Amino acid sequence: MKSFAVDVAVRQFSKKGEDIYGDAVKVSQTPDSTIIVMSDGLGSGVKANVLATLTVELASGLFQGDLSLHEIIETLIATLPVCKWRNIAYSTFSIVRIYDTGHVTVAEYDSPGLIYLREGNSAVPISTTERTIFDRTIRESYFKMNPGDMLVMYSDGILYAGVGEGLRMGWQEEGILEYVSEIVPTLSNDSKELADAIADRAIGFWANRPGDDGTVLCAKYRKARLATVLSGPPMDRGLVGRQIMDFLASPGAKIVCGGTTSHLVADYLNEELQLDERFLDTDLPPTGKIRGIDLVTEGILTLSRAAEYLKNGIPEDKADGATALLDQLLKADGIKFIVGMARNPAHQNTGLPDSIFLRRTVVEDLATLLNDMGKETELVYY
Amino acid sequence: MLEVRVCVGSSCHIRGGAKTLKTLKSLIESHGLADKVDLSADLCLDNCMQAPNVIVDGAIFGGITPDRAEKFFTDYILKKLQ
Repeated sequence: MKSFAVDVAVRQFSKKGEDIYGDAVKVSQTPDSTIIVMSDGLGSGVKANVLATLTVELASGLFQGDLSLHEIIETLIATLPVCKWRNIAYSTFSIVRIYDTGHVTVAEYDSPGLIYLREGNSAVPISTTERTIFDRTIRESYFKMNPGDMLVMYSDGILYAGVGEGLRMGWQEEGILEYVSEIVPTLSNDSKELADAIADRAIGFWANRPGDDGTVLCAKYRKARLATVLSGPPMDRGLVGRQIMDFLASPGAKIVCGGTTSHLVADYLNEELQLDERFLDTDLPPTGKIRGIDLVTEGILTLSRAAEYLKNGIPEDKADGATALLDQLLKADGIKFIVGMARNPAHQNTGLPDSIFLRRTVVEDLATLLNDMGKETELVYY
Repeated sequence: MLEVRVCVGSSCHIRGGAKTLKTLKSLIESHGLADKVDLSADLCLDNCMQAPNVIVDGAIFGGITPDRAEKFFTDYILKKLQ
């Protein structure tokens, strides 16, 4: 489970008269890193969008294999189309890989250089080296981020914002850097806020009629928010102590889902299990309270309902054990599920499908849904 | 004070535990016994096979479905209070 997370905010605008963006961005995860690929396709509109999308998809896909950055760039350059007439590549790209440790590797081809901001301070210069791969010059940099630090990437629609609208040379790197340094102390170190501020200023320079499509991406490296869910007693009751110790030793928010399980945890902690009055009148069992535990709910019905809400959306007027559970889970970047495999014989012949009582199936279903939302999940069985 | 705990955990919930709890609550109120009975809910009373379960003063009773709640109240809780 990653100990750090990267908050990525992207803000894009299209060239006036075009409906789609000519830049593309893709953020993907590997077990030890977050990969951000941004590409600007030659021209604007559909053609540019197709080229940029092709580039980011290809690059992100290559990272899923066991290739070095060098090999990935070689493959990219060899694969991407080149405009024969102008002899230039059809798309530019920036690839940023942020490891869980904070180490960053950057490879940029023909795109504006990124800005590295230390928390609360202005930009820090990054030293870059140039490398030639298949006649193309790639700018590479390596550095280490600290929690709270941010990266700002932008396409040339930002760099040249205002050309033809009063800024003869466009906004330019120095101008962007100056604006970012000026505005950062007034913001709350939030990636979305900064991306919006930069894009709005660029659109302002274009007098609301952008002459090119533009993209701003801000990525903040921060401590991950983690949560651990304990649900169900172990198949071998002799392992109760070990299972609860594993749960209590796990980092982040502690959530217990299960009636029997909550009693076992309360006994282990020598604390009282109290009913929470908030959700007594809902169609799900109510939640409980144990001192030192962030949330206590009933098990199988609440977990199934939470998965159902993720699939179909939470009805606006709902507040029950499952919404309380989702409040906790959706806040987390990484969630560990400790699943007890004991089966409750009383769950048979209830008239409901047997499958919803297979705790493992229910939890795995929920974990897959959370995974699809970009959260990291881990399942441990007892 | 008579302690009454009604289970609303998974098995009891499916078999009507929450309704049993509501029925007992309104019966206790309509009989003016709120100061004599301490009614609460529980997430598991460890007797799931007999759900829905109710504990009265330490003794566990299974199968207290909503339709049996009123009879249980008169036959057992009221008698216990006399």
